[in-house]
Amino acid sequence: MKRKLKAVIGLILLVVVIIQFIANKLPENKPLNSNSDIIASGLATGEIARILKNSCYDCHSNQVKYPWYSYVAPVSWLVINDVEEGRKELNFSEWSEYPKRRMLRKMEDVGEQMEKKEMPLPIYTFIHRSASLSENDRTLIKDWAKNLSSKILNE
Amino acid sequence: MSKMILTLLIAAGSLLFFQGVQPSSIRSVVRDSVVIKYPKNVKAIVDAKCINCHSPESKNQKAKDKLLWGELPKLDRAKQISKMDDIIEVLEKGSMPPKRTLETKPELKLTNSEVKTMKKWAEATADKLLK
Repeated sequence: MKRKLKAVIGLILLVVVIIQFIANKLPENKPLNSNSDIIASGLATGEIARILKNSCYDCHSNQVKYPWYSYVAPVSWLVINDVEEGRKELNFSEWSEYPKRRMLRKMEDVGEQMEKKEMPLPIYTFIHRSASLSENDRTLIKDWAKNLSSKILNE
Repeated sequence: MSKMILTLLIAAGSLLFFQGVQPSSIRSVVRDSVVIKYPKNVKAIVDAKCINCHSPESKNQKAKDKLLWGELPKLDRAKQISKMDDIIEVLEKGSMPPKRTLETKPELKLTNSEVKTMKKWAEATADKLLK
């Protein structure tokens, strides 16, 4: 019995070591561009900036904070996928490069996400407890998105 | 003294009146001129390739939630622009009509020139709405 258990653990360890050599490169961060970043350019300030940084920027920006375990497969595969998808959907670091029509759509989407509560992803908030949004946070972000929309519309 | 107050009141009142009336009347003129319109060539494409799913009679709930061509002109301006952006992205990605639909109805596939027509229309409409 004991020998069997040892064999199983050994096998698992071996698999974990081997999978480290499978495509495992995390999406790269880029230096902060203060012209295009939604916070650096002053479009999100104070509490809104804090919430975005704390709950959204780990997928929706070029300033992702990668914890040590995010480098280890199979966690890395999940992180790679989520960051790639997240940036494609909405990248707060490249905000000012969007055409106005896209800005408006993204702010609509942000408001919708706050209501549907699909974001942040449950698997993310499970690990990053402090990133989950309170009702108050969601209202703040929703109102901010609405204000930014009218600002873009009336520019 | 009371004459002065009266004059001031009239001045303030007329100021309020003009402030209240002028901008909104200008806005309504602008709004009327940018209400979403489907020119013939666009309508032909929509009718042939999109309306089957994106209309109230459709059984495809997801498609109906996403876009109803007939409802588009009734949405507010921000939503209309957002939908135009969505349409442009879908055309760029080539994700509509979806693969699943094309498997059974390959004739619904958009031709290159149809994609071009639709994209040009959506971009022009978004630009007009943003002005």
